[in-house]
Amino acid sequence: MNLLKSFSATTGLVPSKSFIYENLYPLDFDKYIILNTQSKDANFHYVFWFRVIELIEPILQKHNIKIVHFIEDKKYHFNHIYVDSSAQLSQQSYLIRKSLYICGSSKLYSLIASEHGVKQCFLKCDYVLDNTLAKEEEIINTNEKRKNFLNPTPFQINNIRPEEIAKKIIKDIINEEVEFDNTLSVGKVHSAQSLEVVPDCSFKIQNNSKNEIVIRMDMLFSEENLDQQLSLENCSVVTSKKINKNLLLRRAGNIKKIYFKVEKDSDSEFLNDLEELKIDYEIITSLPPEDLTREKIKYLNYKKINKLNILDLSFLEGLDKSKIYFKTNKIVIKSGKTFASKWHSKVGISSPDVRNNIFSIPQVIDNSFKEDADYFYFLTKEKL
Amino acid sequence: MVRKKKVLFHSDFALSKTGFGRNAKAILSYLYNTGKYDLISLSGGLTKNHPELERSPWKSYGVIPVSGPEASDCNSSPDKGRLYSYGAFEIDNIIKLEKPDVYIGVQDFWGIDYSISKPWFNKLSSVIWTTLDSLPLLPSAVNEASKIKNYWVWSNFAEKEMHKLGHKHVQTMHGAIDVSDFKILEKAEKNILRKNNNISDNDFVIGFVFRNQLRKSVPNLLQGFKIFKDSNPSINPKLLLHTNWQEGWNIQKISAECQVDLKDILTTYVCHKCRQYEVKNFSNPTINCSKCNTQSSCTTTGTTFGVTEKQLNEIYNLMDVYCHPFTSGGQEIPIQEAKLTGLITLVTNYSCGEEMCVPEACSFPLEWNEYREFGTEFIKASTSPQSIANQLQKVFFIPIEEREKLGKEARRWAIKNFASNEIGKKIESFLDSCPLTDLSFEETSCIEKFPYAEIPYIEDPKTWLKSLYLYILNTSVSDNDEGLIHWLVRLKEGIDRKSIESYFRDIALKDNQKTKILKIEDVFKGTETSERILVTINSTIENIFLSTKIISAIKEKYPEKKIFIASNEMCLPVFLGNTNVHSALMKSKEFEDQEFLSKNFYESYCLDNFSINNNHSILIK
Repeated sequence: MNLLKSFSATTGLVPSKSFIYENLYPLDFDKYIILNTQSKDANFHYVFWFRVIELIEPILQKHNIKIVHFIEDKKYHFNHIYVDSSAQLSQQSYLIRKSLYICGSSKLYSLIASEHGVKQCFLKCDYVLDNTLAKEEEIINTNEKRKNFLNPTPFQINNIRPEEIAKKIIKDIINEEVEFDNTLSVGKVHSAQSLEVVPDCSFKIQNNSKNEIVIRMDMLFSEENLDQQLSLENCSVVTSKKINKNLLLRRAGNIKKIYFKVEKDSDSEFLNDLEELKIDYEIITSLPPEDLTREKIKYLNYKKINKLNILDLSFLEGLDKSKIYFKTNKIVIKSGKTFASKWHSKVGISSPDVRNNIFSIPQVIDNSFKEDADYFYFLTKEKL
Repeated sequence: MVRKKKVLFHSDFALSKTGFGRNAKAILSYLYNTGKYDLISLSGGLTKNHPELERSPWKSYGVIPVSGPEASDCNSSPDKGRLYSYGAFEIDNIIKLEKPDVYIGVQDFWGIDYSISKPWFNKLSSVIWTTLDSLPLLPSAVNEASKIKNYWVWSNFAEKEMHKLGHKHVQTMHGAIDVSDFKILEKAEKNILRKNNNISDNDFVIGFVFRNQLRKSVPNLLQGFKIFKDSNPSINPKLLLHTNWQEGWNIQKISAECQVDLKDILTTYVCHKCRQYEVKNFSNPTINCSKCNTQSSCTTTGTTFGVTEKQLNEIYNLMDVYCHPFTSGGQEIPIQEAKLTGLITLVTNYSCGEEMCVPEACSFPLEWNEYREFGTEFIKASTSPQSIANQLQKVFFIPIEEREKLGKEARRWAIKNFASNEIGKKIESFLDSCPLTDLSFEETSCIEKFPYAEIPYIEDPKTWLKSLYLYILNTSVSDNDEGLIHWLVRLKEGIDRKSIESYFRDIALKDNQKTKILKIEDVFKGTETSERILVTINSTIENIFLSTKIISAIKEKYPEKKIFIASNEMCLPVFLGNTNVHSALMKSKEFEDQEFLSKNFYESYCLDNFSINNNHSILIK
């Protein structure tokens, strides 16, 4: 029972109309929907808005409907109107009242929308106190995990598959039933564009400044090829072993950064060489917490150890594998050819245009694929 | 199986470059490596969400709030901010959360003294490990001594004085130093270093590593250097001042006054880009880097940016003698570092310097004259320039082999007395003697403040300031209180008394908003009990919004009554402009008191627990 019902039951008073003072917030269009795309409270912050917007925007544009974002301070790359936290509640209330629709996790905006009779899609996250006025059909619940969808955060709001929101918005506003391919997982580092080179040979890489070239000495420790590759261009290097100091000294100008990968019983001595040679470095690890704690004392004099994320692929279970595909922004280069993942390089499936392609997943998933999976955006054509 | 003993170490963050931070790192690393304890660090100076906290293998908590009312409170005044930064407002939470067996508070006394009165302090094995550097000893540190069972001081100087005052339980525990960072380099290495920094073999380099602050006696050193140079025209002395030239003493100006040529003064420049250092004459605050050729990338060193320990060791190894004149100090770590690099050290024979001047330490004592510090009346030392010159001369004429021998003895002494292994062992032994504790807690009450108190006219600024503390903030402060000293300085700078008084009154008002008993006559002026209706809601902004529907219903029922709201800070944007509401107030404890409600309101609605209280019917709950 929510506050109003409880109060009504106790006092016999029937709650009346709410009161919120309004101030004008001028816009140069009338038809718009509001998406509450940022909350500083991670419990209420939905991380897949980019996908929702990618899906709904082309349809809304056909109907000349604009998107207005309610945010705190973080703008997306979309060319929309952003109303940040400098706006007063009275102005936000005005905008909600004038809108066609509002979608988001804010209980307050939902309450204001309900009071104004504005249609909404409320992403309900808080089940402790039932104080919403939204109707059941206006709510998307977050308290249950979606089938075959990986929530990359500890917060239940991100249990919602973005296509579920997109479909509801289009249905509610335009009354159209639409179907989209379903998101299974968006890797945490999917958006980073990188070229990973297995140093089994060396060659000049055609590159633009957006890509970070990373030489994976942890995959194949060849100082000879590293030396050659560094003689050709500016690169970063991942290594779990000490690299010859003379090589570093000779190529220091072309080493962008060294990622030192901490493994069990690691030796931090190599970092002294890097500091002495003034080579920028980061410390990374995929060790489990108990092993990592044992290693930390060796690195007190250096930098923070950053933990690498290994994606749990259990979200693929039970799906028709032939309908699953993934996209990636990372390109693996081995023997002069480009691949979508280490697994693809291992089995020799190369692709000349990795970023503009979609890729099937292997029938048997091994570690080489798992280690890269956090770079992938997995989708399925299957109806879920 | 017996659980590990839990130790809460409350000091600066172990990876910060302060003396307390370095001590924390040395001790916690030692204790961690024993594998015997469950270590917790309450890390002063760091925000609660600081990413650096994750770096330590023991659990580290930050102390400075980053959002919410706590953060506003923290930013409300410099005094408050300082206390937050020490961890004064976080310590209770961590004690409750972690339930340690042992508490070790390591800080200047005013940065830790609030712990002593806490209800948990004597229930745990608690230690205060503090720096006391001047005579007479800080009165509060002496007054509290009997309440502190385990009272450690950083220097034997303070121990001796405490014993004289009857507090025989106070003992010296030196700050620990990681001695592996500092060593005597081979002659050939030293020569290369000198060559790289354009220092000739004939130059006699006198070093001083210090934070450029009032208590470091820079003018005295420059005067002493001048006397030494003039008396020994055949010697080519250089003064290496490893410090920040942009803060504290205006070294250029004093050098000119003392007629010391800036060409005889060296300093360390560090490049913000390539992080390499260079020792050379001071020319400008920022200079180009000769190593990586970046323009204007080099500055002198400071607390926020400086050299690595390895580089600092090299800088000590450029020196022929180390000279540390100061007014007073807790331990003065650079003196021990210099000894570890085999230097003969000249040290002011006062405060912690007394201990550095014992024969085994191989320091040459510097004579000093007493002066009193304004505002605190502490005895401070003004080091004799003539003594500096004499001792420099003495060192210069000691044969190199003898100097090296003395240097090695000094290093041995420093290791024996300050090495983290030595200090760590003592603390380990103490911890092993402490029992396991099962802690329970009680609530504590808050002190009411008096924002409208009448302040008598008092001519003397210090007494007047103390009266503000007493009458407005309802607290007494000692002469050494940091806040009091701060305001004395501000008064001297010309701030008017009215502004200070307003500030104190404002602080009192804000503090009382949380704790003070409301004066009904102030709040409800101009209205009768019979026309007042109260709605209390201390909830989320959503519930506060929903409450406007209830308030509308109440107003419809009682159009003539005046509705008062008792709520929280979040209510402001919701009730702004709401014509149904007469006044919105911050909710305080009184609004939970049924008698108070009956006495002051025709009817009151508590929306947090769905109850009504009135004078004309029964209580519904």
